[in-house]
Amino acid sequence: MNLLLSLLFCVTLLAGCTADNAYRYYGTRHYAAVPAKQVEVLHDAPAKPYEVIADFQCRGGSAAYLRGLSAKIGADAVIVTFIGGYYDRAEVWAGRDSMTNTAFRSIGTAIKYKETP
Amino acid sequence: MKMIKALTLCLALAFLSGCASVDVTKTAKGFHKPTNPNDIEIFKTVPPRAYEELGDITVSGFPAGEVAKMHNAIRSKAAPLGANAVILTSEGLTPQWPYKRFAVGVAIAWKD
Repeated sequence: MNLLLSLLFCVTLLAGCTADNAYRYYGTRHYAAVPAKQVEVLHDAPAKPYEVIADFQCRGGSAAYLRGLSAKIGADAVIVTFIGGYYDRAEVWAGRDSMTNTAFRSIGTAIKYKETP
Repeated sequence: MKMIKALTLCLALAFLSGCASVDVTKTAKGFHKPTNPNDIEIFKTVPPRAYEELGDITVSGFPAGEVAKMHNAIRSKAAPLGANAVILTSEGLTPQWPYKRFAVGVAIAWKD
């Protein structure tokens, strides 16, 4: 399993592309695409009220990649999280993970800010 | 050169006996604020509290005797997803030598 995931990780890196891409779009309203630089990249929920319009998930995607996907659907921002990865068995504390930069999967939650009355 | 370094790192990681892997797949909608790994509970039965499923977890590469360490790895990797607990649906040893411990589970967040 370790070898299989490592090889998949390597292939993804070498090809500079993503794998196991799976997206979900919520709701019936669709928005016009916007320039990628207009989409905020967040790593936590914003303080402003928002609506989730889509979820993106893939192996190997960067924050910039998720930003690009979000721009295509007209999102105001994308909340990016990297999950999974290798774990150093020498670690003894649950709160410490020296291998957070080996995340196997990238997820982006595309949002639209709600208009304040 | 960068790709060669990346490939070398990947292969080294695969063969290093010091590393195990935790694969997490999100199944829930939307964003859940990351939690503190120290607070994540490990269940082997369905907890008596309302919850929502966030994603599934597959763990591999631990030696047979490192059960508690594997649980800590699950905590560390489930926290970014926003989990409060992980319900392990399957746990055991691979059928061939060198027997490795694996686990499969569901990351959850409390509703209340």
